[in-house]
Amino acid sequence: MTTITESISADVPTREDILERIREIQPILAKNSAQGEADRRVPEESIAALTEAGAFRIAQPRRYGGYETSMRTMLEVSAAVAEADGGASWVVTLSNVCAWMTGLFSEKAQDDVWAENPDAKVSGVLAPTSEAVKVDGGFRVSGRWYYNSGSWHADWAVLGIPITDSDGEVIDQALALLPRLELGFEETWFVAGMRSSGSNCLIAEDVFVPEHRIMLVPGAIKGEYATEHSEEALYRSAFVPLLSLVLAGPQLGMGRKALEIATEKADKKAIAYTFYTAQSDSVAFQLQIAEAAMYIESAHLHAYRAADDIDSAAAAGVYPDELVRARVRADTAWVIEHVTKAIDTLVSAHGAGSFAEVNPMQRIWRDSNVAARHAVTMPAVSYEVYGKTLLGRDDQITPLI
Amino acid sequence: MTSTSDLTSEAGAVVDAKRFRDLMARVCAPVTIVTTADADGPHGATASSFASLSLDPPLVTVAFDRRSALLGRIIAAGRFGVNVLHHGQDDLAMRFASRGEDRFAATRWHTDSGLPRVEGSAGWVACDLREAVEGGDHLLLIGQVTKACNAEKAPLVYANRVFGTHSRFNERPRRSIVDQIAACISD
Repeated sequence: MTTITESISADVPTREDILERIREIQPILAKNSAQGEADRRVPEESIAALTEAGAFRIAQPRRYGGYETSMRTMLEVSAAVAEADGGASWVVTLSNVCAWMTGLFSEKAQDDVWAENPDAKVSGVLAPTSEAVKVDGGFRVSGRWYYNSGSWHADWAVLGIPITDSDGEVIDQALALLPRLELGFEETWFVAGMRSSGSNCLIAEDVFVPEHRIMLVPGAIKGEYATEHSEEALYRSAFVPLLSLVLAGPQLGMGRKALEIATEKADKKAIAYTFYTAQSDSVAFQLQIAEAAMYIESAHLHAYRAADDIDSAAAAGVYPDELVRARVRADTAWVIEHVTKAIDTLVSAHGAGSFAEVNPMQRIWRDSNVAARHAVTMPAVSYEVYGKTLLGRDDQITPLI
Repeated sequence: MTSTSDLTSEAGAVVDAKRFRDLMARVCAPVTIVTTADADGPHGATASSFASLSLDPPLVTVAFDRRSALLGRIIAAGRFGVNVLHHGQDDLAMRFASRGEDRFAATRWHTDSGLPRVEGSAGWVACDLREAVEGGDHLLLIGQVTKACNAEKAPLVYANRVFGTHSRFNERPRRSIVDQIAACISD
């Protein structure tokens, strides 16, 4: 497997530097994870530590002080954060992917977001659950967008809109960049897992969006972006594959952590109602650990292969064909499916103690399972997409490839 | 609801009540949830009498039994909203047609233009009450539309006492982008 080496510049840390900083703050993130669930919001101490560590800069252009890294780095940073807190990782992941989307917009739009506040964070929802009226110089937008992960911390939002002509007919689909201050907000995220991701509802009521803060989605799916900076490899990455694969990052870290918890305790925990005084003495337990570890390894191999597909195409300045793009969706689904299986096995092997509120295992189990049901990464859907592509069928089920 | 008493019109003609109901059952009707709000919170009820009346000014009508609790609240508030339900919302239509249930507690809704708006409906209008016209045991409310919103969803229809939808909805003329958007917003 080849690894794309990101061009190193003096003021941009290496991937390993960034991961080391994340590892340093993991104790803070872990300490705050239960509080984040209770508050349904990642505590500011965690957000501040992640900001300080540069976790929110990895998908921001260097022109604004960002690190402008790669798909692979986005995966690994999300995974490292998720070892300590799944919810914080989801906020990091979604803020970064929305920063990446912002980097696809025109420079004028990017300036609106970052020129005066390089630390600005972006939330977003692709679904055009809104209406848009064409007016002079742009559109007036009204709508409600659910599941804006990271909404508590966002300064901007990238939101789906329909594009209409002067007769009000829908003629296209787009993403619009809106300042958070011009949007209403409702707390709607009351869920069983990923409670601290803050995936709440943002609301626009007749908000004006100028033309330069609009980017067409069908074009983006084909790799036609608004940014003038075609020399920036990260912003040549394939649209739907990157949007999909980022969601695997938190799962990798949660899977690793669950394996670590189950393995660490295995010498000290007995198997209830058996003569085993240590789980680790049991061959059945050894097999469970091995199986879970292999599921997690398999998840990593697929995630990194898919990241490599995206990064190498972006570096070469080519847009991956539909088969590769569909395979990234399938790879992403594979990652999620295998981490879900691994955690399920580990919870059973580790025992009923997994579900004690003081045990991070139960939070990982809930966070991972809820995150695994994100609509863009549903295994059944993603495999159907890939299967249809492999068979060259003309009855594809989604434009999102 | 199948009283077979005769109905006498003012002109003296006698019409069999069941025959009249059966006739009206054959009329394809839209299914809407009409709402209003006051200090007691949100109120709403299922109505199939929603119709367009005038384009300029934009006027719609909806009729309510004079005994309806919602009717009094709408008249007091002077405003009402109409949620045009989509094919998948027949359960909501039943919920807002039954007595005694806390209709809004189990429903996803939000406030729009100060009126309760049901999530995910095929259409929404907010209206100012312009007039209440006498119509036998019903009142016909004329509403002036202040806001209208649409979603690309198959409408719920009620005919012959069963719910259904427009069987040829998918043959409607539209651009392919409309289906792509619908795929991205289906919940």
